[in-house]
Amino acid sequence: MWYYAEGKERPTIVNETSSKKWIYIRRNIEEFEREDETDPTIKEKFYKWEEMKIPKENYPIYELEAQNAANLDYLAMMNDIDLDSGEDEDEGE
Amino acid sequence: MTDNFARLLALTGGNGGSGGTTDYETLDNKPSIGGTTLIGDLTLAELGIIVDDQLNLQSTNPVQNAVLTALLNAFPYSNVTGKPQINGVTLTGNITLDELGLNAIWVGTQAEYAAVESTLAEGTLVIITDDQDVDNVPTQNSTNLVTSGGIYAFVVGGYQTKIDSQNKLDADLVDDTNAAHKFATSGQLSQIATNATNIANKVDKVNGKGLSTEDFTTAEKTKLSGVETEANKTVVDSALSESSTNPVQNKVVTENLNDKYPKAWDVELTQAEYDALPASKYVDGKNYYITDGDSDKPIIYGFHVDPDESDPSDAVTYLMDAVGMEPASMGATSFNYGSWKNAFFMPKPCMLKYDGTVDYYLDPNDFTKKVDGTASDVGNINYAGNAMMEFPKIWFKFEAGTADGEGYFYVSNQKVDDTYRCWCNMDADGNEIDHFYVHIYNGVIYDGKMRSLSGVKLSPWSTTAYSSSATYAVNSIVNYDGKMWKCVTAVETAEEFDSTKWEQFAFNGNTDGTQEVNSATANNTTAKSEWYIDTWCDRVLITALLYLIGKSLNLQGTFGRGIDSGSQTAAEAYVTGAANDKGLFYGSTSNGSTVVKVFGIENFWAYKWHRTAGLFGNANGGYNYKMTASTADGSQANGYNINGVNYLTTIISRPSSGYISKIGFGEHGLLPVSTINGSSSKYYCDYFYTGTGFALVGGSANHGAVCGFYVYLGLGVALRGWDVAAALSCKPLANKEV
Repeated sequence: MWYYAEGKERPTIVNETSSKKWIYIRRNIEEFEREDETDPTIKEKFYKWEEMKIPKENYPIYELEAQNAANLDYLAMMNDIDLDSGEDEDEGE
Repeated sequence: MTDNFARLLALTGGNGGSGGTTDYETLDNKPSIGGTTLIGDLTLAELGIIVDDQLNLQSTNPVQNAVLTALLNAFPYSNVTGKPQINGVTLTGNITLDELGLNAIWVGTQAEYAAVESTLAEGTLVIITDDQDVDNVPTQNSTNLVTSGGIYAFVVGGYQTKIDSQNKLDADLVDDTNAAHKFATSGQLSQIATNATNIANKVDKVNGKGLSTEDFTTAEKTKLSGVETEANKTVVDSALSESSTNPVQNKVVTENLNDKYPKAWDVELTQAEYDALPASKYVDGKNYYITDGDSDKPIIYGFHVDPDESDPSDAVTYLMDAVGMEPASMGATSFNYGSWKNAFFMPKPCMLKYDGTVDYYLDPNDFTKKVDGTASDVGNINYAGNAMMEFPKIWFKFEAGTADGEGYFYVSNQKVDDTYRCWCNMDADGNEIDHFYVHIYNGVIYDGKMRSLSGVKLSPWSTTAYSSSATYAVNSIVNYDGKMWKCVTAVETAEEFDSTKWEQFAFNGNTDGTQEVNSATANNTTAKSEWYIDTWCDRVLITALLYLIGKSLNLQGTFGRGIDSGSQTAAEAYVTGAANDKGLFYGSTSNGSTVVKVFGIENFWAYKWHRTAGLFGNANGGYNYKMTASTADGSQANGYNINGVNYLTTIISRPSSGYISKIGFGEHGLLPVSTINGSSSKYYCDYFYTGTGFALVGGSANHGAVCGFYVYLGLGVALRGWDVAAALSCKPLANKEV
């Protein structure tokens, strides 16, 4: 399950080392600013992202799923297919 | 002419007729008997009529009169033995019905009897002549059956007797258990006789006394009477005792031995030697046998923080008596205490009077009520005291591990050794006290005093001071004499402040640290501080207890986000007491608009910063801290101050601002030492803002995920705003000055 997370450092897409049990997956990483508590004119840089943690033993499954999804995207791109609608994007032209 | 006369004429021929004969011999149709024509002088033999002259069992002929007469004369009735009787009267001579005990005699068939049955009087002898089956005769009102050859006789009003064709008792009468009067078999009669003998030999039961087969004798009674009360009585204790000389239950001994001594120990040493070992002794898996250990075993809950584990739950390992405990957490709708509901450190809500004594306790599930169910004073602004959480005496120890950021926390109901402290349970004189008190509600200032009260809408302090040269419309807000006022009667002309035209109300926020401390200490009844604002020792102890019971470093993820969003609008809309009926713990882990309540304290984080005494960011990049108001902690400051002067100084340095990834454990409690790689979902999940000055802790409705154990060291005591306000604490003096 994806959940909200934020920090002052830009996170890596995958973090396999900080936990003995979990691997962290991130997506939609965005930079944003937050006012300094003392001086509102000072803007501090933060990052926010969506995060999911996967037990290390399940990570190969996740990788396989992710690779399959990437392969599908590649095939769709090569064949001009809209994966959402299933239609050939050239048919309407 | 009659028929007989006509017949005579016919026989004599005198009928006057002219055609008949007068000579018998000439008659054509002479009479005959048995085929013999009646003519001449015939003998009986000639007529075929035989009269026997003796008795014969085969003959159907008549018997000669003389023969019968001779026989009867030879056997008179008077000589018959066993003459029949009725009701004991022998049937002889002319006996009256009265002599027979009868009122009347009725004779007839069954059908005739049925017609007259109801009319027959008692004492009537009924003789039914056509009965062939005894069972078919009428049975009501019948008695003394006499039956023979199909005749059934009884006396109306007597008892029925049935006799079958063999003159034996009907078996039904023996077996009929419903009959009012029954016959008994010989076996039954024998049993009746046996029972009668037993009954005759019985010992009568006396009320209040028992019977037995032990043949209890007087001698035995005398002997028993001589035995002393409780002679030879053995009392087996169910718990260990230092004074009892009784034996102890096996299981109690076993349990205590198992507790005290491992079945096989790896190290045998003294208590002092054990105490000197590093904290790794708690997690090294060895069994230590302390040869001079104290049998009065305290409860010690502990946890270890692994600094190399980013998952906030997996980083925490339970130690000592916490091993095996089920962690607590806030569920979707209610709080799950896990194994911690009755932990010794759980506080109780109460109304604490200004003099530091408990007036009464509150219903932990509804603070608007006393424990007896009557209304409480949590919303009474005129009450001479405040709504507080009462904590018991708690001994604790924060201990650093060997790795950077590795830490141990132990909490006990006893002073386990000299490394355990009870800083929260020390008064301003340095004396230990049994209880310390933390606010239930965010502090509000009313009439110059900081209060902890329910039902107060938290409007911030107005910076507009009353001016005697101005005019004011109704609902104008000003501050005057350190209090907040709302105009209720317009001030049309410039005049000195007139309190009758203004209404005082409580406020919260936009005050600086000095103003907050002064309003908090205004509750004191002596010259020494009992009432004060939040203190660092209370904050770190309660935070560590939350890490303990939640087995997680993620406070918001375990207990609820609190009002961490909505900014000033949300904060000023809040009315204290929103979680009065939510128990000691409440919150939402999914939204930032729900009050969070831990250990009975509303908004322990989020909503508004808690200005907290005892921690100060010093100019050297480190921390100054003070764990108790007195100098018992080794500090030189007598009482808290607003600049951290004469506080203790840590050897650890403040990290840069960011999400906390490592905390240093020690005498100071918990202080951030690293923010590298921290985030809202890893390690401590809370933020640290580095700077110099008075500590603010918890975050506000402006801070979202950074709230929790968010330590802010910024502008210090001068910082003011809608999102900053202190709240009350109280450590009553052990020895009151009179």
